[in-house]
Amino acid sequence: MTARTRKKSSLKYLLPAIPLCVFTLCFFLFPILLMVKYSLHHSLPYGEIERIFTLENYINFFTDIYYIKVLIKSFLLGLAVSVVTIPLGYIVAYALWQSRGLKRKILYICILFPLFTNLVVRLYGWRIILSPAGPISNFLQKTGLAEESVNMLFTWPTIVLGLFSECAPYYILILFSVLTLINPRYIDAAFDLGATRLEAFFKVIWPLSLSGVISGGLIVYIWAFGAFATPTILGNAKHWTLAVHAERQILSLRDWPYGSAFGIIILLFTLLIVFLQTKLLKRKQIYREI
Amino acid sequence: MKQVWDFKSFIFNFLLITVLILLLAPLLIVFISSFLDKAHLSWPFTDFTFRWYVEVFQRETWVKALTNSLIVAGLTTLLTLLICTPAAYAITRKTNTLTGFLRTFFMSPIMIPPVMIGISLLIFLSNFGLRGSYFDLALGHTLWAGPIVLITMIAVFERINPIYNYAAQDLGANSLEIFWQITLPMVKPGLIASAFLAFVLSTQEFIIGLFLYTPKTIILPVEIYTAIRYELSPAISAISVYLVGIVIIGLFVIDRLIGIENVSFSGKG
Repeated sequence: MTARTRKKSSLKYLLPAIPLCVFTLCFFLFPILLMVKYSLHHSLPYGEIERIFTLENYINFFTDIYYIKVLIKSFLLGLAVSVVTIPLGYIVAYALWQSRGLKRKILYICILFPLFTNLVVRLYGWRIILSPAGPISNFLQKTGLAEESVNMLFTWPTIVLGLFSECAPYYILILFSVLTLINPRYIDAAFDLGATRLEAFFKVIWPLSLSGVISGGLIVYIWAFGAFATPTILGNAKHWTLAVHAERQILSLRDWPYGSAFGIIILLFTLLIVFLQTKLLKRKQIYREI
Repeated sequence: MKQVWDFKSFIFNFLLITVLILLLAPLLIVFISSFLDKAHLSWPFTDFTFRWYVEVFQRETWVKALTNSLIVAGLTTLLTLLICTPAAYAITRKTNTLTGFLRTFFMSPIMIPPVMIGISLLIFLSNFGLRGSYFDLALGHTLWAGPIVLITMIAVFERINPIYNYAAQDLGANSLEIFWQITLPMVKPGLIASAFLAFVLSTQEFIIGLFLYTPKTIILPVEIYTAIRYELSPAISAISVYLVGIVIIGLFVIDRLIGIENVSFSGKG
């Protein structure tokens, strides 16, 4: 094969990717665009839609103090979950990276098993553990730490805990994949130069794994910000995030234009966060090159 | 260099075990509670029985939901393999800006909150009057499982030594023959593992399913979601254990075929 014939058929190798391309365009991109269109329509009672161009859904959202509060709550929830997940997940990712053989396999299964298991089942487990008739409440009563049964459901810390156990496995695996790229010789070099383990970590491993922390942390933030199942199952109306309100508008109230607007607002904020992250990563890279 | 008593590694291991407990405790409690011989769940757990595992099959709605879940998962697996295998093959052939862009593009459905996929597909399908078939749910689940299967398949294709392809090329095979006769047999375990991965991911998906199900096509996670609003009972735990059982079988098979460590979520995602 000469270089010329390769050049001639330079894009032919991508032909097999066309089905997935068409699929993603038709069933992902196009529906999102359709959603944008719906969010600009006017809704009539009983789920009817008047197909006119209007910005009223967005204006209604941003002038309603209740939904502004929901937006801020979703932001803060995402932040709280990220703050908890980033350091705790790092510990597991680090342990996974350092482990070998059987220990690594066991750790891997401990992470993958909950990751794949249905979210509703996991949240149902949390409901059993934290309910007033559950083991923790029972333990607190028996030891005299609590007078009567304690209901830990429907509180913010519980929702953060639920989201942590939902997002941590993804974060751990993303971070782990970045950690495996680190050349172990750098760490040996740090030890040879007399660094302690903590120094080696903060001066060598941490800076090299930062891109994993940022992209993994970003996924955690996006998912916690757009969380749906955890706030509905472990919380009540007070804890509903933007995504829960979007679902209510669409499925319960049948107000599709308004619900679509909710969705688009979530999407726009998600894209904004991704954009900020790429900026952050670029600055870090420049910093590293210097 | 190793010290007998190291405070720092004690703290490290303590935190590690705490996180692992937080990840596994909910599943463990569901498992234990499924054997409880009471109508409703309350601590302490005493009197154990197997009867819920039989009794759940007498509830018609649950059997139907489980069957639906399996049908949807089957369709999702088929669809995911059909479109992701060639795509993974294509984008591992070369590393350039275009393939890099395609990777990001194909990953984008899992980069946004799943609620968005649910809403947009619901609007899309209703707009064209396509609601009510198993295929709707399979479409949604393929958007979720596809990207994750694609990452795994890319890893599988990347591990093949390109020298075999060059050898076949030199012997006069065209690209279709190379794919069919050389590459495909080598990636067969990876493809079977991917099929299991897609199947497991589909059976466990909930949010997209919540938006797209109809009474006829209700899937098990949605059924469990509706059930736990009203009660916490050993029966729900037992049907949940059946659902989790699919994950255990799936992970076991994937581990046998390609090694569990190869199921990965790339940071590039």
